[in-house]
Amino acid sequence: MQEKLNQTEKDFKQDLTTKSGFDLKVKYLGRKNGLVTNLMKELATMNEADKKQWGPEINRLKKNVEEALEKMTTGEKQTDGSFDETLPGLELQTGTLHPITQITQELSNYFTAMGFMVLDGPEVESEFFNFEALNVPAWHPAREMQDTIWTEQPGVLLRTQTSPVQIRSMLKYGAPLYAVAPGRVFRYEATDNRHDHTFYQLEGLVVDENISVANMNAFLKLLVEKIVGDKIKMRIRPGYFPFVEPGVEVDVECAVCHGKGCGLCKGTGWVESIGAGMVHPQVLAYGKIDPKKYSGFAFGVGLNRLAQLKFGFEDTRMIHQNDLRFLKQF
Amino acid sequence: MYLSLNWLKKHVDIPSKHTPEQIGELLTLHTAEVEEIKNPAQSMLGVVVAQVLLVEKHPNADRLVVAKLTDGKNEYQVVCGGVNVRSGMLVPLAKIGAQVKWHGEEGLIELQETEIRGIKSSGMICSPQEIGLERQFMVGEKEILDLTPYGLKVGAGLGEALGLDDAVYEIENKTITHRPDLWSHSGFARELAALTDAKLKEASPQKRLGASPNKVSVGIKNKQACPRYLAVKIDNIKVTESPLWLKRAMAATGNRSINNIVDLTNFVMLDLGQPLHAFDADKLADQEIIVRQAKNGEAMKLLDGSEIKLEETDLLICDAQKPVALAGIMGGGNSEIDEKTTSIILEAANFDAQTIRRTSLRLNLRTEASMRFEKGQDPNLAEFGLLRFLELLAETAPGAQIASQITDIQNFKNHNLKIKLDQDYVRKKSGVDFAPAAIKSALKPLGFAVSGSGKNLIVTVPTWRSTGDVSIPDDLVEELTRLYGFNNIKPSLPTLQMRAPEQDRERELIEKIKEFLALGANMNEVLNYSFVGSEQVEVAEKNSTGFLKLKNPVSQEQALLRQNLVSNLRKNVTDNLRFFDKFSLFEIGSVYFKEPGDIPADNSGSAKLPRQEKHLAGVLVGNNNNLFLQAKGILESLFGRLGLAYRENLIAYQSETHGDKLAVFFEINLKKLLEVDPKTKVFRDIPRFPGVERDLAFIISKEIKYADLEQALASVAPGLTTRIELFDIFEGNKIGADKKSLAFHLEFRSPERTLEAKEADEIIAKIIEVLKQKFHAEIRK
Ligand SMILES: [Zn+2]
Repeated sequence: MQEKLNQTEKDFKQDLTTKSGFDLKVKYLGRKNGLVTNLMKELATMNEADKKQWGPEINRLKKNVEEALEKMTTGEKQTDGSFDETLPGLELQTGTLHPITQITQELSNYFTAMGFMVLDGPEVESEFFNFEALNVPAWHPAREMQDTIWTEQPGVLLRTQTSPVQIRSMLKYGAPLYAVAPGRVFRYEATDNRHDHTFYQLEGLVVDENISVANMNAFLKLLVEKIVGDKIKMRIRPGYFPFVEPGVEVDVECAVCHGKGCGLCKGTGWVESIGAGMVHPQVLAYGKIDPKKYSGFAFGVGLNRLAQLKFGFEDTRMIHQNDLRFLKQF
Repeated sequence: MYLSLNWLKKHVDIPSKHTPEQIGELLTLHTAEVEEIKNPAQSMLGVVVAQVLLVEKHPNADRLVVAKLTDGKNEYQVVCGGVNVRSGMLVPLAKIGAQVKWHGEEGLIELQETEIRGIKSSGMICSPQEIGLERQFMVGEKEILDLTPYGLKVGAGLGEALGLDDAVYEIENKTITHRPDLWSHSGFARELAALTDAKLKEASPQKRLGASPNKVSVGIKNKQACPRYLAVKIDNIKVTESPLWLKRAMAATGNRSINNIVDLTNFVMLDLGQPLHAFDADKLADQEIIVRQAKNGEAMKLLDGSEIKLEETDLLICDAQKPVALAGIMGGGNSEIDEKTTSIILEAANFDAQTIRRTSLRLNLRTEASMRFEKGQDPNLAEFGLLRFLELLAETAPGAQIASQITDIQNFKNHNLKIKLDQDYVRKKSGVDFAPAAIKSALKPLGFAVSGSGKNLIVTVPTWRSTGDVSIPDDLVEELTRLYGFNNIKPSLPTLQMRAPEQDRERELIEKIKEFLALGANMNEVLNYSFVGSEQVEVAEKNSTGFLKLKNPVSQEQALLRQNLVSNLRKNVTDNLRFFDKFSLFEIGSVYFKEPGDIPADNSGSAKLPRQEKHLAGVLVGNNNNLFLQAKGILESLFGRLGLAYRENLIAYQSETHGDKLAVFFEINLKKLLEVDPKTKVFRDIPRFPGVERDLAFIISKEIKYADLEQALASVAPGLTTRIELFDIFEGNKIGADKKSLAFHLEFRSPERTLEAKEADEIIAKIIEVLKQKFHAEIRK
């Protein structure tokens, strides 16, 4: 036995300079035929006296082998405490938050810091809150802009936008009101790499005395800077949403072509990023806020697009495929 | 919608300093989004007008000819398969290097010098298809485009010769949803006049009187749905191909050219925004028009050949016997004009937006006419459109004679909408201090008249903007701010008042859970659709609450709203097992039920939305037999992290095998979790005296629950037992199939003194006694 022990120890010292950590592990500590493992197995079958004699020896060898291997894998030299800083770090296993959650949290925190409330609203919504109270009666042409998924219950639908939270928050909190509402929205449409029937928006609402277009502009500028940084050009142009008057759309300079025109921006050099506008007096009235005293602005931003820009994936459908090869990257 | 710059220039003298690109940008920044600018002539580069000098049979091919052509400078020899090539003819000649469409190919092909059956061919004589004009120029099979009738200059580029050297703007229709006046060239011309400070050339077609005193009889049964109807009869019509200018207009705006009459009605619509319809007068019984609601179940055939079934809310144009058009949407097949038509009745009408929209949506019939009527057109435009048609008719159908007086039935009043505007209100809303004079001069070019001063401005809205688009002061603020330019309004941040933050416990809870599960428990967050498949309907029927079903699901596999998160997580497990052996996922999302919950469905608060709640679910996947204990461990820590006592009854666990792997799922209703009383963490003295540790292992029946054992272990010395930690469970044939082996670390400690080893051994002895008696435990040494 002593001979076996000596031989194993000698071999190990030699192998330590020539073999990889993995090979050493298999050769000495492998579950099936590792040399040290076999010694341990032998020890288990020994009588009490032999056990007493060889047990400490075998265990000492095992400990030495394990320690040496551990030092090897952590890249640590045994004596002088120096190390090769170019070695890869040991992987720390952590989970991941979904890209949409990360974007949502980032924006929510930004707004919270500005004094906004972060609100939630129902995904199964009524026609009243999703359309009527937002100035979109049944026959209104704007309904075509948003193909709706309806439930079997009359007047009950899957919200097509986060805007119904505007009305709900006005009814609940009144004015002044500074709130954002991130969430899931639905449209009846075919999915392709740029569209999904389920996607995410963040709605914002500011209602106070004397809120003007100039205030909205300042705010949109902040939001764009938050999203794409302050180096990127932006422009505000008229846009139409029935629940605001006036309505605007915010374009940012195309990140791919820097304004020269490319496929992504359809040659215009600009990419749509935010829809916004001054809250329509009728909508304030639906929210039981006096439009004579208060005014406000609202804005909406698509979170899928933001997540795609931030993390650089083109196919929006990745968001709901829940493929760990995708999710583990973020 | 497409706008031709050449066409716009007929209405407005845009200063020449503005390039087509700048004009596009002006429209985008102040009026409506321009999606794309194209020059139709660009697709005809290298194609010229050429004259055929000589046509000879191809020596080696029966169906081909060899043509000699000239572009005025050079001669070209071209092998051609066109059956109508004649000498003397003017034809489009694509020279070598031109881009043309090739039969059966996608995209454009560059023409090469070639040899066809031994004869050199330097170019191609084109059919309309080959140069993208098949919708405007109709030719027979294997015919090339004969340009002879149009008197074009030999050698000129084809695009220029046809007048297609233009800038065509594609307008994003969504951005003019609220602007009935912008569905026309004249509407955009008015905007451009305001934006470039140019003069608008307002057309004022003259009233033309028919020779005959007769009138077309028009009866309107539903006055609300038809505010205006004009009709006139025109004889001596000859239906022909359209003249070049009309074909060009159709080509520039992407429309098909049909014949001189139909194209002219379309031209007036694209020019002024007023849809017109021409009936073949001889196909109308008694040459009479009746506007009425449809009867339920009534049917008709439209001119696109489709059969439709009507409802009471639909509006019809009928003759004395039958429906001849679906009002404001499409004509009927039975009254369509064709090449035999010699007499027409022209309709210029105004229909109620909501009526048209309802029918168009229900029947899924979206036409150029319905898109305009559903926005709410100005009834005054109907007369204007009819007169413009008559004015242009002389050019497109020479010899045509107005054969009746103009019937004009008006069920509307011009109410001259006036809006009171306060200068201060404009400033407060816009953030720009507009002086009254600035307001006046900004609004005037758009047709608004402004009178009064200061706080008491009175703005009279033009009829083409007062059908719903402009009605309150805020609408005028919109006009002022967009004309001024949103980019030119100086940003200023609002001052935010300090307030106590609103507590949203659910949101806080969700953030904490996500953070802990991802970063503390190393799980990956997923987001699944809110839908589950109809294969779960069976389950639904067993389920007393029932699934909330979708009326128009995106697919049958997504027809129901989910009631739990685990069903979709299960699919994630299967998908990811293809690439991973061991993983764990979690999701937080809504689940939905059929019955009403507590969220109000309207502002009265009495009706409630279907119940919806947020759930948390997760799954651990792998080989390990301890997966359940791992899952439970995660949740115990999570509860602790959230400051709550672990509550087994809030958690639904289930485990499943997936192939040779095990998956342990859990799901929790967050609403219930929020109801759990917080367990505030209370400081306990740090032990002052050392404890004594002992290990204890024993074999007992599998049936015995851990909880009972734990209680037994603790009961022997309740004040002194400070730790009971299960560190090993073992089952296997070695100890008997119905047995399990458990091993514990136990710790005993007194708060008052140092416990002696002997005392601990006594407690262990008593515990062993209890275990033997109560559970027939076999103690392992
Ligand atoms: Zn680009």
